[in-house]
Amino acid sequence: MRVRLSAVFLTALTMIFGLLTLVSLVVEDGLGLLSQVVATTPLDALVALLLRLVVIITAVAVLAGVFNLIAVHVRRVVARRGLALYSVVMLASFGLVIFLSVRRPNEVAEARLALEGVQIALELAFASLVLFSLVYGAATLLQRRPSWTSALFVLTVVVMLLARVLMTADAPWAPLVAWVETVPVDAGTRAMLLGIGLATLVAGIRVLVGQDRATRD
Amino acid sequence: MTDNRNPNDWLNDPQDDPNRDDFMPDWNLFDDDPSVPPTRATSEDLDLDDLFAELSSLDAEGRDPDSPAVATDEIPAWLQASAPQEVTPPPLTDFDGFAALDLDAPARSAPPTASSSGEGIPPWLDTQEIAIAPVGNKDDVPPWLAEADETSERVIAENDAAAEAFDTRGDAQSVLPPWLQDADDLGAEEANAYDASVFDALDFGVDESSQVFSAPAAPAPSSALPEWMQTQQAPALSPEEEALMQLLGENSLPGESTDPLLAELLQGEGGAAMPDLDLLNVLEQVDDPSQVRTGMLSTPAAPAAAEDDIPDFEALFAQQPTLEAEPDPDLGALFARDDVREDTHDFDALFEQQAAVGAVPEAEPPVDLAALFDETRDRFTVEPAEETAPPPPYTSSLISPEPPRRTAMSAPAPKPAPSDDYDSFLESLRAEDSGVLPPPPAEPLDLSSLLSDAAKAEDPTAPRSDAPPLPEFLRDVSVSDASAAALLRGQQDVPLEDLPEELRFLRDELAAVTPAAAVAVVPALVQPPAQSAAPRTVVGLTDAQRRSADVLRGLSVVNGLSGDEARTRGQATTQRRQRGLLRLNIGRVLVAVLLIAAVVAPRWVDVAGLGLGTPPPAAFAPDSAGGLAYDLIDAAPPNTLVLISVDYSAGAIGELDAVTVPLLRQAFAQRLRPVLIGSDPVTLQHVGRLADEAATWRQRNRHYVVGRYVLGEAVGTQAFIQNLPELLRTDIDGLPTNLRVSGLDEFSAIVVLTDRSDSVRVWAEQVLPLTRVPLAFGLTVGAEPLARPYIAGAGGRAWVGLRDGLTYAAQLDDGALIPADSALRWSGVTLGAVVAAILIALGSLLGIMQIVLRRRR
Repeated sequence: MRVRLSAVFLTALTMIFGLLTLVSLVVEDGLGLLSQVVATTPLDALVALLLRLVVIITAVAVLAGVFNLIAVHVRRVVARRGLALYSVVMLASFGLVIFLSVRRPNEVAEARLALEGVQIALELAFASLVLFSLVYGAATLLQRRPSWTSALFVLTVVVMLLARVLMTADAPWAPLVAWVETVPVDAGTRAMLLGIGLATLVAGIRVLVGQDRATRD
Repeated sequence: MTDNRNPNDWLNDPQDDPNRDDFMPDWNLFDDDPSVPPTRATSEDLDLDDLFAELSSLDAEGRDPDSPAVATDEIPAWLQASAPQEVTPPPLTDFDGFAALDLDAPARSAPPTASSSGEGIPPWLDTQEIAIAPVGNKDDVPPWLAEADETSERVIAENDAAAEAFDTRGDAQSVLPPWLQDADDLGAEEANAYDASVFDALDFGVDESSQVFSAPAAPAPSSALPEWMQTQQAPALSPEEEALMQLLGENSLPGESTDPLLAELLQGEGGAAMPDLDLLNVLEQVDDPSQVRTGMLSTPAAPAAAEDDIPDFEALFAQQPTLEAEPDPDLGALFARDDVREDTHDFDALFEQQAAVGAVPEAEPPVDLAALFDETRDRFTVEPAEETAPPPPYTSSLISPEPPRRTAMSAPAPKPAPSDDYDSFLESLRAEDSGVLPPPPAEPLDLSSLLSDAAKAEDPTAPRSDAPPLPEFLRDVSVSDASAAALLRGQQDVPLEDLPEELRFLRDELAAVTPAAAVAVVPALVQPPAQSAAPRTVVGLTDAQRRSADVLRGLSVVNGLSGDEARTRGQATTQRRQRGLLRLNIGRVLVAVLLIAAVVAPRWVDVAGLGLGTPPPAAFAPDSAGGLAYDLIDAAPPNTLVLISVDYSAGAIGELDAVTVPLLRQAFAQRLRPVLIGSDPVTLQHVGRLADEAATWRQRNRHYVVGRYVLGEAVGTQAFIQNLPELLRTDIDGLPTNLRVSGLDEFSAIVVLTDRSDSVRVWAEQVLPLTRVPLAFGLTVGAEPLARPYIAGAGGRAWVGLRDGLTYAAQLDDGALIPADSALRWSGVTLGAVVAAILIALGSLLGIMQIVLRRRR
């Protein structure tokens, strides 16, 4: 078996700091020696530092992503002259927002214009398009995939949609809607959450024992 | 017992068989000193040549100088053309004494023949129903079968030599061939002496594991016989056999044994009627094997040969291969046949076809003296008095000789009768040689592996025919191991020109039948001759692709277009289709238009009269989730900090801003100091602007704080909590916040506004256990179902969607009704939802109608 020293070092480092973080987060008062160790040692400060480092590294990664995005669009503009209109618009918008924010940092009118008039408007438009797509997809579901499950899904959507907006508290079908929202939906939700919790637990254990793929390979 | 022989070697040339010596019997036939117990002879000590030499020496010593000579012009049947004959299978017994003698071991590995019942035997093994190919027509017989026939004939000859020791004259002449009948005149005394010397070594109770026979040369009583021999059911005798029995009984010594023949054999001092052996002279004078075979059956009598005419058996048997020289087994040709499929491996049919090649229906089958001798002797040895069944006919086969027969001395273990299939029967043959033969394979023995093993055992130095040799990888073609495709894949490193003809044929067939598989195989198989080292890939089309291409060609011809024109027109069609992608979908457009109209219609049309639902209430119910959240903020002490995490995206602004704005208003109204943080920078900026609007005269970073962008999901949230003082030191613009916060407990309330249930989970899991500060949530309708368990665990305080937002705003205004703009907005949402539900229902009904109409058609 071929063993890479870097992988071994990385795995050991991950395991050590993972265990330290776990102890710092889990151990509280009343656990005897462990509590004393955590209280008398700068373990909490070390863990806080580590978490800050994680956040900083994540922020650097975001910044690196921004630079990578700029570089990609610059290459597209240089390599495909006349055919990279979207890249030109993107680069121009990026430069304009940066310029406005730097030139007048205390006056945020232009920046707000870019934010409210462009960014948020576009995102809201995309969200509304999702509405159209959902409605059209539900209307044609039985045409594309005729089955009993599809019919049940469509029936549920129609009933719950009408109930959400038309139903009153004293409506005769209000108990049925309430039962659907509390019993089946809650049951399915809790089942999903249990699965998420178990998966998170397993993933954490794999990291702590050095079996996670990110550190193993 | 000592045969280290592969049972599949019956396909091989016995002359080239390295194991030929292993077929020799294990005992020393000629022990001159009776005081010395017989010892087992090894293969080096005793072979067939030695046996015949000893037989010759007997005659040379002149023990019976007056014995009549054998007929010289009678031709043994085994050298004569045989013919098929419809005969009844002889009811062979399970006990095969002659096989136990191991005299005919070379034929032991031959395919099994008819069982006592004649059922369950492959047709190619059933010698009674297979037409026998004549010797003169052996060109039609495959060489490997000819070799098998040579083996069988050798066995017959060997058995004949031994059978002469038991043969009689007189009444048995109608049964025995003339030349053998005449051989009775050679002299009984010498023959008896020889027989005694042979059967003195018989010991039915011998232990196979012992190297020295301990039992004396005495007749074994029936009670002393092994159980499997005592319980043996004696078959019925034919009239000829009965005559032979009678003759043998007359020659025996009465009262010495219940088995007269056994008594005679073991004592070796029988009457003068014991058959003399002069087969040597007979065979020595034979020039034409076909005549020998013919005369063996038909010639009633023959003149005597010179008594001192000692045959040379070595020369005699050395002639057999030359007489029936045939090409070597050509299994490769079998595989290359057109009618042979790779997935069938129907070797039974193959053997039947091969056997039927030289079949002559009218020919008469030769007499198998070996079988006759075995059956006769077995019956006398076991239970001769209970034979009532009809006499079995004598059979012989050129293709499938009789299974090997051994005496009880060499094989005391009962040989199971041929079972329902040849595989199990071959397994039984292997089981007989337990301890000597190599251990059986892990997998059940099948004929495919049998043939492959036989091919592997071929002597490479033996003369080969012009047929291509069987490829090494084809020698094991058992279906359970690999498919033909796998075999071909295993030949990826073999150049095409080096492939055998049958493999090339298979490759071509594979390419024709399954082009996809051929494409997968051919690139590895096809190697350029010598000019280029790069592999050449042959592209194949599937049948569907070929049909499509034919259709296109036909269309081009019909339209009068050439290839280029058709290609150009096809490109134009593709371009039109690409442009057609921009065409509007009527259904989508209709849905979009109706939804937009429904949402904006309330601004121009009074839809309140339609009675579509009811507007949101102007105040929360006391115990509702919205009411609890409202009470939390309402009960917060003035001048305390309220942490508001804005975690929803810009797409949820239209829904959650209805909650965020009343929340800020209430916080400012309660003289709280909101601290805004968020995981979405765009929304955080947007909420900062909302706070600026709601703050009126209040100042940022003094009365409220728009804090930093918190990234990293759970880790980021945990880091924020762990490093709260540092992270709240500056706001989103990098300006100082002037906050003096050491922990979460300094906040009076925490409110999380999000459109994702994961954010609720993170705050409920990462923050709630670390603080006593109550949490409240503002959610979208879509995120509420999955977040409900966490909300319930966090106190059940939540505002959900636009409806609660409108109620929240109305309750802050202390109004009895929601504002008019809020009611108008809600009317638009209500009408849009109703239209959406109607569209979905109509579309579904349309789909159901299409299904019904389609099924009716």
